[in-house]
Amino acid sequence: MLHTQPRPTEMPETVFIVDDDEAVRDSLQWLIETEGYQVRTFEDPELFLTQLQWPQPCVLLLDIRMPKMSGIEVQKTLNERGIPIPIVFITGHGDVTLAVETMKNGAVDFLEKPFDEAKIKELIHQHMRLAHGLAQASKMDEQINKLYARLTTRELQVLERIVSGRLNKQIADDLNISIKTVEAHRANIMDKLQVTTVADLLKIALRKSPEMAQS
Amino acid sequence: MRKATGPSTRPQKHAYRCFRPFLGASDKVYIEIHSPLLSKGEFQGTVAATIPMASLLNDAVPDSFVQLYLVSIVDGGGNPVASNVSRSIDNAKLSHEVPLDPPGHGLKLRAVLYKTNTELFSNMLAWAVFGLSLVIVWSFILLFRHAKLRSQAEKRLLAETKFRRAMEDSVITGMRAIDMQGRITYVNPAFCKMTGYKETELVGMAPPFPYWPDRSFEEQQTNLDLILSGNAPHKGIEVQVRRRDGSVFDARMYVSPLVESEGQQSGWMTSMTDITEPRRIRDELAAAHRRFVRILEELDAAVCVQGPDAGADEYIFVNRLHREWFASATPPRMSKSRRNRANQFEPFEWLNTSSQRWYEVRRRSISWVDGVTVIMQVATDISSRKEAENMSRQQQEKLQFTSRLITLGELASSLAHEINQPLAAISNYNMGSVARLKSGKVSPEELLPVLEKVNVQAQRAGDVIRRIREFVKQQEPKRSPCPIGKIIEDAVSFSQLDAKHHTARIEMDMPDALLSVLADPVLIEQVLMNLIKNGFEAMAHLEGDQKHVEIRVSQSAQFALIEVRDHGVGVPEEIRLRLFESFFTTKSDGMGMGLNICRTIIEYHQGQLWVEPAEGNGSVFKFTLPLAEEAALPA
Repeated sequence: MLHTQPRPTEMPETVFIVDDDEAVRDSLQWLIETEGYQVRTFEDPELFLTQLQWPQPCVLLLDIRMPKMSGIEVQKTLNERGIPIPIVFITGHGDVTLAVETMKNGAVDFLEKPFDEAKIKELIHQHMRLAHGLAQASKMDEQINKLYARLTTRELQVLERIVSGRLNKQIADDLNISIKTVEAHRANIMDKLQVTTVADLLKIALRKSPEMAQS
Repeated sequence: MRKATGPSTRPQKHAYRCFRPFLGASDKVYIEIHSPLLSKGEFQGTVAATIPMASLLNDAVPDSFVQLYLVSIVDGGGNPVASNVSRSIDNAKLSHEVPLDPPGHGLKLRAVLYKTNTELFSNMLAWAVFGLSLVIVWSFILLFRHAKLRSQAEKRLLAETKFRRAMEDSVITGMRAIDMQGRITYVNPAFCKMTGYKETELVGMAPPFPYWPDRSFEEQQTNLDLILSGNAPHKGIEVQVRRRDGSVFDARMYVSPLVESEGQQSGWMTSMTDITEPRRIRDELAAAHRRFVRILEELDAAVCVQGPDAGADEYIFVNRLHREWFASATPPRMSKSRRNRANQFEPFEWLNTSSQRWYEVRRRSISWVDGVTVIMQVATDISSRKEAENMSRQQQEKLQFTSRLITLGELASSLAHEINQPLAAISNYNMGSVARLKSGKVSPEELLPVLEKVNVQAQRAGDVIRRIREFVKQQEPKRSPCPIGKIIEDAVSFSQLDAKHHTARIEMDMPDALLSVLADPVLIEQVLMNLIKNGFEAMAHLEGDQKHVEIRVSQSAQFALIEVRDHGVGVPEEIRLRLFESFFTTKSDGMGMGLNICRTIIEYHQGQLWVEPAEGNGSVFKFTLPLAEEAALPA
């Protein structure tokens, strides 16, 4: 996992803290800053949601019980927006059932009050590493989406068949076009997706639509 | 007769001269008349006539007269000179004398009625004349009377006729008589006026009549047949009549047989009334009534009208909502005593137990269309208001009644949360500071405000702890002897709203309700309410009828045993062991404090709280409470 080691020079790693209790927010910031992370605190979950920029390497410390909007709602909103930001929930006593629900929604971890220093640092480190991968993946998806957007419908049809392992001739038969045309499309696709080898092309295509590999 | 011998001395034209009668031969009396004879005014001689008096009478007097009367000539002394008969009559009364001239010399012609027949005859005649006269008079009287009567009868007849005529003219009902074949025999002026035809046109006319509208021809024929067959309805027939000008009006006809004085029916008399106006008024009334009813029907209140002494189900009027809302039960009728000063009824609220809806019922006396005083009732559905009231009351009760314990669990959980916050903050500040100090990356200026913050948080935690202490102080149970039944009833009544919410019900079986326990009623009620609520929640998946919680009380030694049984899913073994732990909960919104606190409360009362699986399904929570001393004594 060496390649996902923090690279502070490249991009600041941010810890977002969303909690309605000012003292908890402030003290967590004081604590977490000692680890060298950039810390941004929010009292208002909605404000956090509007200001969050993704992808970036970051971890979210999220209070479950908040008056305006619960941590679970924040989590759901992020899921809906397709932002896979690692979330560490801050819980108190008696939040067991809530915790179960957050797990169902794909929560990563929990932090129980009062906080254990070692645990808090470990969790943040761990999730920050994860965040890098997630952010990168998100970034890559974005790029691939951009490249894909340049393909024509016909090119998409050809690409789909290349990925599923059809030969040029078969593709030509399928689409009722000549082999030469298929070859031309193929060249265009490689060009547009900025790949040189078929292996790279497949990598991108499978990332874009993993279900293709199964078909 | 003798010849005149000398010229007459009389200068008259027909001068003549009579000489005194003289007795002639055979005792006959004669009279001599001399009349001068003139020729060219010169005396030529005298004509003398000697006339026997008796002959004169015989010759000159008609025989018929002679038979009745004695006619004689008498001289100035009254002595008869000559007579048609020789005998004399001395009945001066019945005689008449006329002077005889000429010959003068006091001679008179006398006629004497013979005393012919007898006196009797004469009397009878007189009587007959008299009697006849009487008869005539009497006849005249009779005649006069008769004439008078007749004249009076005629006058009366005239008056009657005039009256009849006037009546006939003034009556507005059209009268028409038809004979047995349907031919018109009579129409009155009103009928003519109504139809626009003249009497002369109508009388003698046979059906079809000109005043039948074309479109209802068959109907009219049917009606006429009905009339002629004697089957016309008593309530009359409604028909349409066409006036001469073509306009049509509605009329009602009544038919009665026309019977002659001999008892023979000669036809049918129909009276006809123009009902266009009454019908228009009736139609308008009907329309108004329909509008009125429609409004009432569409009203979002139930309206009904009842007579003052009507039975519960006797209505003069009900609208749609009344029928819908009160199909199974109606609001109770109020006694008169509950009227207010204005003699109106006080509005009241009523719960329809079958629909579980609340209604506000207002009643008032009104004068109905027929003038009778009736009671109008207007009911409005106030369930939502009532529900809101209930909710707010429920909240109020909860606040008041449970403020000490509020669901102690919630409060304790909230306090735990509150105390956790400053502790977490303090810990964080501390850990952060330690890390900085270790790395030597911190200046005292940086550290100072953080330490101050730590202080603030420590104080905050202290405040929370103080509040808990105060709270706990308030919570000191105040134990006193009280009947367990009362505590349970109170708890159940407070739980009824919850029961309604869960559509569940609570059953009580308390033969030992009067058992007196030593307890703080408020706290025990809290325990009961908590257990009941748990029971409801355990049965959330059940259908309405099956949802019930049973509470039972029994005595065991020095304790009252209270059982709260539900019919829910029951408590699995592994959960049952942890059920009374604090912060353990199986509910998504629970704090895991309720049962823990319940157990604490019961244990404080030197009782015990535990759970067992119930027979069949569900669980039964049981707890004991010590009996108050006087109750513990055997009765």
